[in-house]
Amino acid sequence: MRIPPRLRSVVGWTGLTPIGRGAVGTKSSSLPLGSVVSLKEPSMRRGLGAGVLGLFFGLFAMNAPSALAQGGQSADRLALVGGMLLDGYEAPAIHHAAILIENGRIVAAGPADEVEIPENTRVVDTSGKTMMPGLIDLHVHLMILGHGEYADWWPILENRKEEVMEISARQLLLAGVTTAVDLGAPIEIVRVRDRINAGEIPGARMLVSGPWVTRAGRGFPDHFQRRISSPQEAAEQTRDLIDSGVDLIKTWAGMTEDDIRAVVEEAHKDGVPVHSHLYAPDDMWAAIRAGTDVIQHAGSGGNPPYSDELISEISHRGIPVVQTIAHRIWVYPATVEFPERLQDPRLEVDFPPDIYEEVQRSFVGFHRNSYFRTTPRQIRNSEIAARQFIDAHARMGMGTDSGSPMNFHTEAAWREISALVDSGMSPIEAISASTKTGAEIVGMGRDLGTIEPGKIADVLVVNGNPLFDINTLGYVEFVVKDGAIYSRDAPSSPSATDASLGAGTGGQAARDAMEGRE
Amino acid sequence: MTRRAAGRKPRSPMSLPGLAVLTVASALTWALGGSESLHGQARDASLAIVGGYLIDGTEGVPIQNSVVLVDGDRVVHVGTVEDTRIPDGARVIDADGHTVMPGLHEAHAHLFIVGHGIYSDYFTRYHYEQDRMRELMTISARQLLMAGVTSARDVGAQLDDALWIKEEIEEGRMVGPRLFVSGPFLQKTSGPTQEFFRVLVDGPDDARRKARELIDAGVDLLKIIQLGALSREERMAMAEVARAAGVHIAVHANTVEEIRAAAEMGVRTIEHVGAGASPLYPEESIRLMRDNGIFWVPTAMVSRVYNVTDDFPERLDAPQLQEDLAPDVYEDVRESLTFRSRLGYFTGKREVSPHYGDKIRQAHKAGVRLLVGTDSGTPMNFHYESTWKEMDLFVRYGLPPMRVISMATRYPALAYGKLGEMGTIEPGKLADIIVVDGNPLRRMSVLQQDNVIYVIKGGVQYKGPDTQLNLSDR
Repeated sequence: MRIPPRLRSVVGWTGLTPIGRGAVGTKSSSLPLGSVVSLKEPSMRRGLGAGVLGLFFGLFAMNAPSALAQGGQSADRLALVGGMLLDGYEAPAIHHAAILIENGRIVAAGPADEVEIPENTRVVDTSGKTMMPGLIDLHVHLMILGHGEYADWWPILENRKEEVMEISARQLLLAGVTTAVDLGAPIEIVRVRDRINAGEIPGARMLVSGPWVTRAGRGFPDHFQRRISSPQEAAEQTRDLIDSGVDLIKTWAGMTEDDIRAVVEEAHKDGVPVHSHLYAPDDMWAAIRAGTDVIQHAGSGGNPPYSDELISEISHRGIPVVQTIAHRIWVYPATVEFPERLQDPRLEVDFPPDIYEEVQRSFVGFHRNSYFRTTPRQIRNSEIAARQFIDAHARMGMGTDSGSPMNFHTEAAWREISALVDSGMSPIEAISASTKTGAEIVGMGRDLGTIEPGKIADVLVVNGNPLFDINTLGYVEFVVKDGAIYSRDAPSSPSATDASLGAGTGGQAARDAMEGRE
Repeated sequence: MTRRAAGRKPRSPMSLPGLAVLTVASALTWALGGSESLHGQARDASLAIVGGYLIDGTEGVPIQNSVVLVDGDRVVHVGTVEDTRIPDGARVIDADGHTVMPGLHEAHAHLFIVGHGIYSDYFTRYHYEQDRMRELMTISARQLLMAGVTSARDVGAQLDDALWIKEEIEEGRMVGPRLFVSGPFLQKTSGPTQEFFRVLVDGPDDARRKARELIDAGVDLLKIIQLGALSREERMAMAEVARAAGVHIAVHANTVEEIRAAAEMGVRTIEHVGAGASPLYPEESIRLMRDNGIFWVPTAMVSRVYNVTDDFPERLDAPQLQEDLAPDVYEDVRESLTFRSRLGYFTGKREVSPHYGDKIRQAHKAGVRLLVGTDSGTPMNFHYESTWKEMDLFVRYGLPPMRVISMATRYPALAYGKLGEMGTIEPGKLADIIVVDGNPLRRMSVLQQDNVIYVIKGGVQYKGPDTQLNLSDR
């Protein structure tokens, strides 16, 4: 079999059924096995409350043991067939493509008629859609959910840290973020990361800094940060964090050049990278001299435009820059224009009722919240700074600061990519930055970031052509992580998805990769 | 969000034909049960759309936490959750987090075609050989309504078929938008395979008689093309008949001379982008359209579909399309589009399409009023997505989003003399309303079909959770 039957042939034709496509589901009994399709209830796609009919009703229907037995399928291969493929490189799209996945890894990808799909492969039809690598968000905060006022949020978080972080990780995954870097959380995040990466709970594959290292420390509880007052202490805290199991170190505000140098030296002994939160030009220079690995924020704050010399230095040396611009230039104005976005029904589905209520309460009069005190000025400067780095062709990854006020994990990534396009990247550049470059920045370029044989099977399938309209990245059909399918409108415990699709490994490939990443 | 009973006086008193639908019984029920002063607010409602961001079509500032009350087929009240009491018994649609706006209008549709690339094959097969035009029109009508298009103008089809589907929809036997139909084109000459939807006129008397026949049969407008080939006497004869009967005229008019002729005829709309390969319209063409109150329907989609399909041929595989069309029709349509660059339909269109944006900006800037119409049904131009894509295209061309929404809601009502009935969400008007996920003022593409969560036409919900539509009862 090469090209799968078109979708219509397996869902049946609704003919002159007078209303909608709701009737399609009734024909699922005649689905030929091997052609997995989405049976959509279009009106409910976006999740109006809990009564959402599964987008992947068909998938889960096929999880029934009898269906599997009937099909006689060995459940360890998955093929995504028919859609357009953007492989993560800045290269032309491959039309009518196929991706073959085996044991959580991609074994073939290319035009559908060149990809041999073995017997007993579960085939998911992606006709009319776009397939691309899962997104890599280089700046998230699992400990926050978009609540409008940090000071009110910390007491709530105090006793519910892991619960909150699990919600965030799941939201990220369902938004197409298959790998994320958390840059600031209580050390408990290490456990959450391990549970996700062990396949116990659904979520984006996490790389975490745990608490950040800082001299300032204002406004955040102590368990988010390690306060230091000398380079010596900086090194000690770095050592302690590494021993606690973090993947990388984040330096926050107030760090001197010597502080950062001490952190970098200590971290690099173990091959642990250092990400630095930076805004002011002097801090940027200091961090560059001190050898930080990744510049975070840079230009999304209140600073006026950077000097050409600084931009040029960063671009020339290829120091990765993660700007997190959308939470400045998009979140606030978009919410002022359309406050209804705060009542996104997905939030109500994802959060426990008391947290949902509290988060909603925090949005009343949001423009007066302390977080937005200087936002208008930040917006104006960020727009300029974003263009500076893009025009200089700096090495840019995508990060969102998701979880910060009104910056929800459900949409932060594609909003950021959209903002990068608004700021001058072409859509293909922005997609490559958010996948391939992101993987390289976190040192996992061998395993993640592109769709090609040998890589971990992290695939995002969206409805539409993001090269024409980058915002189609918001229309997630489903997400494949480690070869298992996740979708917002279906239960997404890894056990359910792995069992239904079989091509996943519960994250084993990812664990192996993370052990050996450069 | 809390919804409390009215503690404050409603902002504006209602005056309204809508109240006429109140029954004595329901008024009594309210009088017995109500203790608050609610003068001015509807006392009864069958439907309440609560909590959404209301873009009412008037270009006013959108209303947050809005309430739209519908009774029967009419809007009876528009307010906010703070100032509006939800009448007991009203079915509540929770629009929190969503945009509520008037149903879209598609000003240039062809229900009898479905995107097939080769007309001669298509008509030969489905009209002459298989007699399936009505089946195909039914599918198109449903595609439009499910895309949030609650009213549409069908500007070119066989007379009986056009009138048939209009009536089926009006009588509630079929799912589709309110239709304004022209029936066949009135024109001078025609090629083979298309005569069944073209009426050829020869001389002023013949033109007058044929126009009158269409009007007597029940069309809502006359569609007249080939203005340059028709004599002035022929054109004016048809215009007089139309004016006397109160039906409007839509024409094709490319050149200054044709637009001048159209203005003389008093036409209401000019269809398609004209002025050939010129990068802009001649000033006089623009002036003629503006000063004569002619609405321009550029149907820019006809050019866009070509390029977007080259970039993303997967769009032809859209599951939506495969589900909507009969399997044999889908296969046939798909097959017909295999060698797109050879299709006669796109000859010439590709060359001039780079100018569409400039011409649209030119006309808009000069004050010409545009309507959103797409020529949907033409090759690769599918009913289920055409209308919002035209709106998206207008925004990409630089037109203000709020105005573009007017071009698909209030302007068409204005153009057809129906502003008292439709085009905005205001008390007394027909309840043609859609609820959409997202803010179209920031991103018009949120209007794509999957995001149109509810479709309400004439107070009846045709799409959305808990849709219960019993066509036989209606």
